[in-house]
Amino acid sequence: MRKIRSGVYGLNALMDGGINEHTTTVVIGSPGAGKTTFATQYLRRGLEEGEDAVFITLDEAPQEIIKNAKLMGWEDAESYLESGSMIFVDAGGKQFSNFIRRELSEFVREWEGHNARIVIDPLTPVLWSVKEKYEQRELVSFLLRQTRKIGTVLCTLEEHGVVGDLSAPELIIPMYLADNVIHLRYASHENPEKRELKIIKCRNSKHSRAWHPFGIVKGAGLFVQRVPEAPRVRAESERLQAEIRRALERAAPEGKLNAKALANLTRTVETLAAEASGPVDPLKVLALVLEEYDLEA
Amino acid sequence: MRKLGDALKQVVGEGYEAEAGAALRSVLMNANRRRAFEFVAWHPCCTTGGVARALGVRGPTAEWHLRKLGEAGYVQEARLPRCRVYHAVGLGLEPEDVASLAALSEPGAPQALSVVLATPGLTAHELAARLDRRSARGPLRAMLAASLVVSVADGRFRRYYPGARVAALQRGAPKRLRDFRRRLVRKMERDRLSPEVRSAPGDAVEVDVQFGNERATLRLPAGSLLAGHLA
Repeated sequence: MRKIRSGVYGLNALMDGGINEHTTTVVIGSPGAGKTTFATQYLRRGLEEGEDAVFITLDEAPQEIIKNAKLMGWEDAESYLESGSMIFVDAGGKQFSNFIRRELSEFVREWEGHNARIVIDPLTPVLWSVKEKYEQRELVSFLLRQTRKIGTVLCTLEEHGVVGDLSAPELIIPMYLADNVIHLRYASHENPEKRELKIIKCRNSKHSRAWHPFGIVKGAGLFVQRVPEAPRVRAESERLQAEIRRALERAAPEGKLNAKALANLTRTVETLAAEASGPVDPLKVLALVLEEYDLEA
Repeated sequence: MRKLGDALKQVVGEGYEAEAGAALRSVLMNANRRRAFEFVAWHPCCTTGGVARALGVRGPTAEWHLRKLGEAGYVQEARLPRCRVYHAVGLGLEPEDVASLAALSEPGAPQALSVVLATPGLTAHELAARLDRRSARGPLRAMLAASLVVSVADGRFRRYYPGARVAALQRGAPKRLRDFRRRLVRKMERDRLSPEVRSAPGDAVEVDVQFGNERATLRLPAGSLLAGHLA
């Protein structure tokens, strides 16, 4: 899977090099957290690389978005509109959800294989356009599955209620369905204001699991300060890997398992060994894996 | 080069453009006008007279409804040498389609075409007998000119068969009508009519619309451009 640059300074390293192409990302945040700034930086980076950008706005008028993007240092934003490489689609929630139900699949069939950066800001009105949770899920699932065929999609989600509480259905549903989830936690009531970012989920990537302070600077945009992850102690990691292999050889000498099971087991053990510095204790997990094959560590 | 974003913008339509046309929004909430629109949708390229007869109103009344529908962007007028005909906006009719369909506004023509389709190879005399008319010359002349029927000489008789234009009109009609409905639904959304489409028996669809507290249902063709004429 090819990685594309997120355009948010400092973020790529936290996502194992960037955002996987043809995936869906949701960015969650309360008002003022920086969701739209995040989205415009994401599009800007793509435009710099010669990709097409589509900004589907369900809330703010395009002029407002451009005005704010310029404040964040994107001075030539309008030139991309003039050249046609960036397009705004200004739609209502109900209208957009009708489009999803009636016309999206045909549209995707026509444009499949294209690779634009697509922003839906915010996705929340689309969810609220239908009453039943089941229908909301169907709608969002269909939207995300289809749109990633024509590009790399980023949706923003409004965080209502208590800051940091992600249990509301309008958050949970897209969080389950998206490939990547980024939470912009913004405590505007605290003094000084506190902004932190966390990658909650990033499919097929080894992503950071820590909270990282982020900031927004007028004229420059959104940046993430990286806090160091738990350090990888190389010697420790190598020692562990050797130990895991020895345990496997002891538990499953040649001939004890059929080829397929042995291949699966070896792969699992290698993955565990690579996680030597993570939060899990690889040796404990190894014992569980061996148990599955009726082996003893 | 056509861009994905442009295409998307076109399909989604934009939510806030319709504000300017506020006064036109409820045009389909008048029962007679709605029936006029349905008649035009089922009988593309019909005349004012056809609409007046269907609605049971006088010519000028039908004309007034058609004008309102035209101003609101639901119905389009086409001028032919001998008359004006009306069809729904978004049907994507070519000039030759208009000419063929307009031929069916000639009195007796739709009935004559039905008989020719059911029993190809009749003579004008046999056709008149089946239509219970003194002569089938008028409708046949209009349809021959529009290639809806062709005549083949058989000794001293001429026998009449369906023409190439009938097949041309039927070919791809479901897709054409589907595209038409999609454009119509988008237009209705822009006009704040909250349309909901559902299929209905008899190769038709029904579109529920709502404006404020008023609700209504429109029945539209789904299978054939000739369905209304040949019914």
